[in-house]
Amino acid sequence: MKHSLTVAAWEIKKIVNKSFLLSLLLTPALILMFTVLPGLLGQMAAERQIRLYVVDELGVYQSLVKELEGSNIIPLLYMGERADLENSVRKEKDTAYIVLSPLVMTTRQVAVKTTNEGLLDMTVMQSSLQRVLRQYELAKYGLSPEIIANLETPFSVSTVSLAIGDAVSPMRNIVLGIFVGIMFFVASTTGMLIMQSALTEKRDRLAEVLLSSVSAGSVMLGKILGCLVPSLLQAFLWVVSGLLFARFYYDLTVWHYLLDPRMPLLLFFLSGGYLFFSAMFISLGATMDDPMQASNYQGVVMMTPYLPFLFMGSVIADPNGLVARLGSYFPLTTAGVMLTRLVVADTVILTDIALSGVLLLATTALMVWAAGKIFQTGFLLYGKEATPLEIIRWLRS
Amino acid sequence: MGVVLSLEQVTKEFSGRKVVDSLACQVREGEVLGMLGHNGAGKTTTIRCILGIIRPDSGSVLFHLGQKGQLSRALVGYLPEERGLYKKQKVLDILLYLAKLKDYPVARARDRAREYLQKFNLADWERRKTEELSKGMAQKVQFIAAVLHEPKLVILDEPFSGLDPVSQELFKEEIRNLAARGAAVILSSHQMHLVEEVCDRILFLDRGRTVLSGELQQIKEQFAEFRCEITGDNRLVDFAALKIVRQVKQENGRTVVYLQKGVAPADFFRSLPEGVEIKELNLNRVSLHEIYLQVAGGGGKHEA
Repeated sequence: MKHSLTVAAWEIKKIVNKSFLLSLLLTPALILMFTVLPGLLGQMAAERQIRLYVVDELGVYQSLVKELEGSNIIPLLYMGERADLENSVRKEKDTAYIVLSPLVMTTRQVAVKTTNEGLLDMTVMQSSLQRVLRQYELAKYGLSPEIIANLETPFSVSTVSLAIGDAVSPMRNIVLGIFVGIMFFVASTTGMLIMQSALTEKRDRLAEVLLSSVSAGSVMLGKILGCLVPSLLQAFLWVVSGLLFARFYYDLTVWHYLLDPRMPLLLFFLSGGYLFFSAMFISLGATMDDPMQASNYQGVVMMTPYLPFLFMGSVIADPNGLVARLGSYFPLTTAGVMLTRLVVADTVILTDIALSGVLLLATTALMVWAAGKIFQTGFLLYGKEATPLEIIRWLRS
Repeated sequence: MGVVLSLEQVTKEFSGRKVVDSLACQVREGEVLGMLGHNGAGKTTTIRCILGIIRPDSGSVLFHLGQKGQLSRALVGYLPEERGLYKKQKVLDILLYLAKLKDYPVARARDRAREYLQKFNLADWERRKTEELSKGMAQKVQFIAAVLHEPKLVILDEPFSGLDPVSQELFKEEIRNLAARGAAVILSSHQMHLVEEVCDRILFLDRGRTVLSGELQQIKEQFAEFRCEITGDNRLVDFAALKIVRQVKQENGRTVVYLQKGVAPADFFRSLPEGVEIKELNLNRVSLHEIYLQVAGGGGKHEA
């Protein structure tokens, strides 16, 4: 263990350099910037007032004014010549015009004429005109304003949990989902980091010096621990940035959702998944000579942490369904699927949690054993990629 | 001198081919053992078996340091043939890290590293990244890493390859110093003229087997014949007819005559036939390289 800690400290020293610290601070700043910037730009655009001339042959102008209230589109009733209107719209900035004639009701099309196509928020225009014209049409059939208002009110559909205990707040699940997403991202990038570390030491011909000083197991464990620390630091910074952002930008206090009773289980599946894939990746690094020359099977192995994403939709739609349960019992997807189920489901079948937990422990132990064997031999294999047959032979030896 | 390491009938196979075959030898403290052989003779595999990097299929590697019979990695220093350094890290940091892996006190490692860097003219480079070093400089740093923690057993695999003559001399001196301080040194190389200058004992390997082993002086005495190299047109001279001549090689106006064991050079000169053209003449003992070719070619096992 002492040697593993020495290797881990060295790995941290290798990773935590100036560029790492810079990216550590810049990444959340960039994420926040790209989250905030579109909103700010949208807000700036929304503050710009657009004059919309309306040629109203249907008598709906007042309804349209009411619908567009609060938006940056200012409707202006136009009674003059159409040619003059078109000329003035061509000349004036931030203007557009529409013609609401009986023809619109048969063609079912309204043309917004402007010299600047991106000028108007078409979502607002579409919904406002939709309502105004539908109300006009319904009124023509003799329906009273009350009936029309009733018809316009949409039906709301929502689930009501019959589970024992308090209903889970959707915000709580969102926060936990984001947390698990960050941790999963960190775990998979750390796996790549570990693979890169083993590969670099092998390529730089340091394998023999290390293995003559410490056991292969100590080197492996040291790398797994050492690469994890900077990644956790990164994750911590991201989570804290997210909490601060939620607090000060959206005025939401959400940190307490992280103290959810599901957290120990989430951390168990995160840790198990990390250990499983990091062992797999370190042995993969030991079988490679050049990542650019990675053969097909190595490429496939590198994709395995992302397998759960293939059927994530089904798992989210039915967290206790057949796909979710099968995914929980397939070793390569156990961690990913169980994490998703625990976050999205109000309750997860208890036997699934227990059995998938045992399965994760067993397969992780098996993977660490196999990785140790592959690493010890592959780490010393210079100048060539290991073939699957060679790897099987190492495992049997 | 106490025995530091014993190899007993060590055998290692790869894909059904014996790379090391029933190898047995001992290494004693204060001596330099030359493990010689051409590429593929089994030197590196033997070293890896000694270091526990790979396990022999049969036979045993016994250490007589620390816990008896067990390899104590902290007491072993190793300079592999395939060597490298962390390119983006600083020279002193790497030396301290590797010493720490050997459980050597950091403060002492720092002092010794600075001494060595001074000795190898690298004092100004201790805070520089190793990617800035020349190949020779990097090799010196690797050598320092192998001996910094005061190992009792030092294994140097091809330590002279790629070094300039000045650095080769420096390494030879340092290897002698290590042995003088009581360390057992195993020196693996195929540059036999360099090994000859520092080794006390020799172990010749060929196809994984020992073909000759013993004290360097005894080997030299066993293969003590002289070789005489004559430059001149002597195509018509029958040197082989002389009873005191063991072997003759002629090529491009150059004749190499190997004398029988125990024959004095003066007897050879006296027996030279008339008409021998001598433009240039060199008389030497047979070198280790030639002894190796002789024994490896013969395939048998020799004890000196």
